[in-house]
Amino acid sequence: MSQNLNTIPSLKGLPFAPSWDFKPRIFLNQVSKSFGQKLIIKKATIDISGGTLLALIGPSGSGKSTVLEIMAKVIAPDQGQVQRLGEASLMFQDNALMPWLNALGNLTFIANPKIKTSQATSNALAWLDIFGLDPFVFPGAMSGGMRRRLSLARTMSASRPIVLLDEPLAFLDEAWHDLISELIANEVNRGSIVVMTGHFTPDPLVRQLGDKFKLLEVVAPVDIEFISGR
Amino acid sequence: MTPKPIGPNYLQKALGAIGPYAISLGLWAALIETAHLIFGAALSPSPMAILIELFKLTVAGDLFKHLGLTVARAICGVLLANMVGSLLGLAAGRAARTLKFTAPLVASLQSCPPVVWISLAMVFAGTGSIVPLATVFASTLPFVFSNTAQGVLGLDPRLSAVSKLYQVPRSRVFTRFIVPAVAPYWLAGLSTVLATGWKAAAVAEFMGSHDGVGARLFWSYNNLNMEQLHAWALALIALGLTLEGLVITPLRRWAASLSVRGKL
Repeated sequence: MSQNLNTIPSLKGLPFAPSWDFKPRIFLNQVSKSFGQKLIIKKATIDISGGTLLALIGPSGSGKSTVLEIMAKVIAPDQGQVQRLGEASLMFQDNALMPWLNALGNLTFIANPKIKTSQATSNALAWLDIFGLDPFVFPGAMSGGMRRRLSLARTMSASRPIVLLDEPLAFLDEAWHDLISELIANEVNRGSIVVMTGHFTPDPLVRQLGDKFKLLEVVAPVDIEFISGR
Repeated sequence: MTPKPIGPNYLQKALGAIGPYAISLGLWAALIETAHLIFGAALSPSPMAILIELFKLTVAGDLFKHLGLTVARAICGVLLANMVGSLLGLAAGRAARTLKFTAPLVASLQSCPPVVWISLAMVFAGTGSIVPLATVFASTLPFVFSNTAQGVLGLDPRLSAVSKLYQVPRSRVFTRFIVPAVAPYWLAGLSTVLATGWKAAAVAEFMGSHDGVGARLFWSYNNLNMEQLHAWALALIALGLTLEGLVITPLRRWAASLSVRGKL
């Protein structure tokens, strides 16, 4: 299914998401990570709290994804500690979609078991609508951009205070950038922490978020220290 | 305007489907007829005598009774092996180390000929339905175990990470992640064990049962009733072709289609 750029939906149908009643926080304390002999993160100390967007900008292979996966606790660091206040959702760089589940199934798969199935389904349908996706199409029948949107829809539908987005704007037409920037800004404004990676500075987000936008340039091996004002 | 001829198309299709079987049947008849001419009716009956015997067995009800017994034993053995093998495979596939340590044992069990299981079953259970059931179970269990375990071992670690990250309930992980991911391996295994299961059942019946197609083959051989021997052999081949066409080939196609859908 090809998406007509003139029919890109707006945030009108966005499921209601109140602000968090606590301040989420991520604290990476002198974290290092190697894969085999290859040193990916030499030393990373990052301390950020809710209402902040941290953009990790750098070339491919600079270790941005590894930082995100450590923040999500998908992989463990070799050294150092990861402390988190609030649960995280992660948009994987390779999407990590279930190929045998359709778009709706991919979203309801991660739905909170405490909420009713009907509510989880209507929530998922609302997110799929925002991203202009047919609920019954399987990932294998989607274009690269559609899979990216599905992966983003899944991450956002989890509604967690820490949102980690690995190259959310990659493979997407520029027309989608505004909507996604608006979504990200919306998350930051409700008090979430958003950490995203990319190859370039997302200008619409800089404009929308002002001081809440923090930029960190990353080169391999990662050696960064970033402590945002709390 | 000349009407479009529809007859020849249907005829061509029917001939295309039946043709290879008709040629095989013709070759079989030629071979049996030659043997009949060389060795005589006592050792090698004519194709017509065999077909008449097959007809008699069908009319008397023996054919479907014994075919049914063989199929039922094969299916029960395969189902039992699938239940046990799938559970063991699911557990073993979670740990690559367990799989590594059990690999030589599974390989030895896979290469073990059915006659070993038949002898053991006869020692412990005498003769009867237990022998073919146990033989089918023991011969097919390692295949089911191995295929299921390989499927679990091949689970995409990224998708496992998604399940962990969002604390997806175990039941949902099982039904919507593990089962669909393992299904192509499991179905491929099922088609293999079905193909070997009925043959193992027939051999086990030949040696250790009073009924079933295998046992009928044995009694025909024992009484030197060559018409019946050939008729039962023909029935067994027909059973194999039917299983292959109606069950095994569709299962393989299904497994292949699931396998393709499982890849992005």
